[in-house]
Amino acid sequence: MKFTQILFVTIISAAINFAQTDVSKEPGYFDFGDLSEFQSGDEITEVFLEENILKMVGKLTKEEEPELSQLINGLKLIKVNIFGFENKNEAQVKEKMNEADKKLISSKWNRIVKTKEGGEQTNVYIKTSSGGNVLGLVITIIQDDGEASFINIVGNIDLEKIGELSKKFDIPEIGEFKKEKSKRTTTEEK
Amino acid sequence: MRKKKSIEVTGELLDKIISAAYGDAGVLQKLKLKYLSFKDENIKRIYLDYKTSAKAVHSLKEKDFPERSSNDILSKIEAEGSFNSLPSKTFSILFSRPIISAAAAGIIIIVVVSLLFFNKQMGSPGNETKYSKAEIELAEKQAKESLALVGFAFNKTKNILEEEVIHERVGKPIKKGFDTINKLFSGG
Amino acid sequence: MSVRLYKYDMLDSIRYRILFKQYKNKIYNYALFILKDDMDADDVTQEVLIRIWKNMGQFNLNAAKVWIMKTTHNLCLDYLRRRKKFDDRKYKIDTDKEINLVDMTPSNYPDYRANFINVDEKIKKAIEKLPEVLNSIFVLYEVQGFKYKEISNILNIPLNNVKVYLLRARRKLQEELKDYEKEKVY
Repeated sequence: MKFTQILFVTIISAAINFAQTDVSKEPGYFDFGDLSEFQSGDEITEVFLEENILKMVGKLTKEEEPELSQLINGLKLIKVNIFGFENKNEAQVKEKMNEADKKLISSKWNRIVKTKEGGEQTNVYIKTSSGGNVLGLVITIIQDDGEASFINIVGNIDLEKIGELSKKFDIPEIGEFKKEKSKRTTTEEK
Repeated sequence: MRKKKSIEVTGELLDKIISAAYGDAGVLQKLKLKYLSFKDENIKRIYLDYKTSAKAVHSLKEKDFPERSSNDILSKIEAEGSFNSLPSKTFSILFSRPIISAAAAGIIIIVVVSLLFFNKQMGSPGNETKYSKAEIELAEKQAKESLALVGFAFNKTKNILEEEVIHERVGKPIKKGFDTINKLFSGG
Repeated sequence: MSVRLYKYDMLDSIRYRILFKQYKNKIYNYALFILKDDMDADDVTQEVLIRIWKNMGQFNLNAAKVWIMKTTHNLCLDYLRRRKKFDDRKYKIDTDKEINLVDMTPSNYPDYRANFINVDEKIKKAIEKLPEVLNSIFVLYEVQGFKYKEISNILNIPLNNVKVYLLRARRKLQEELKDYEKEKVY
């Protein structure tokens, strides 16, 4: 009976996964690999919003924030990993960033920005269709306060809109994002 | 008779003895301590004392969480309705007897595979997964925060580009890159 | 905090039962060491197990271990603050106990070993007497088998400090055990 239960659950899970569109096959998708080895401390944030939930967000925001709704409706995935790392792991994190860089370039992604300021590095890549549409966005950031961010957005991306919206809606800036994250973590775990 | 010179037990040495006694030390360190224990009775005594305590600590038996309390929690959660939901109930009924479970599993597999096939043919019309309002609101917040992070990266690079790249390294970036960058920052 | 959203009650139930079985004793025993009270430890364990269920869809299962123990630790601290025994780490000699010990001479109790607290209890009492942070680190590492990195995450202490505190805890425990032995002198 136990075996049948396990078999049943396995088949249902596999079926569910199969039934969903496999976002990893999208041209704008990028797999950063295992980032867990670099994570230290309790500052770990992982966001994984797939097409279904993004559509719901698009519906929810349609009335009050039509531009945001329109932006989100075109997306298939928002994947973000933010984590703190220790000094001793800094070289490895940078190595991970470089590996991602090589893999992206070899997979015909366009690196449109590569900046280095002191200990901080930011790289921005886009994947475009033959028609010039942006199908994927990858950003890797290492900050000198020991925080790294790996972002992948998949779908029909309007880069101008993202640039506009991040200011227009007064979405928290990165400093507040960090405070909000640690405040949220503390509240949830108490 | 020549008195044996005892080895001074410094703080560092004591830490090494303790690590070895608790099983943390590497092979070389253990061998070194064995040698020192052989040479010095005091070190041997300290090591054995700590080893006895370590053994006792590592042999401590875990106390079981009372069954009555376990059952209380499971009842509370069931009362909330999640454990007692129709899928859960169905699951329990289906697997209560082997014959029923085998037959049910077979039927369910056939139905699921057929639906999948049908679903794929129709192009997945209604992936109507039900999310709670709280889940959607949380996703909205996270989507905004993710976009904020993207905006942050753009602004950061915009500043650097303006200060360093455009003023100091004019002409190097490919035109296509600049066109894209101009698009990115037109909102800023 | 991870936000992979789970959509299926049934799978959540199965996952929860696995976590429940895996962690209920760990949570309970940790709380016992920190709070030194069965009822409080029971309450904390129940609260943590309920919170696990409520947050099933909101934490990364790979980081569940750390999340669970961190929640347990924080709840224990809340209880301690409420009790206002946070700083009370001084060993108080129980005068009744002293009298009993004096009475327990081999001539009066031929099988005197049976009348002493068993080794488990002795060690547990000594661990409980360790100062707060040392106590937590010692229990998590020596008794419950967590790694340095995990402990660092659970208690929000830098990794190097965990190692230093662990050494201090071991030394302090040895002192406590020696004091305990001295008490037994008759």
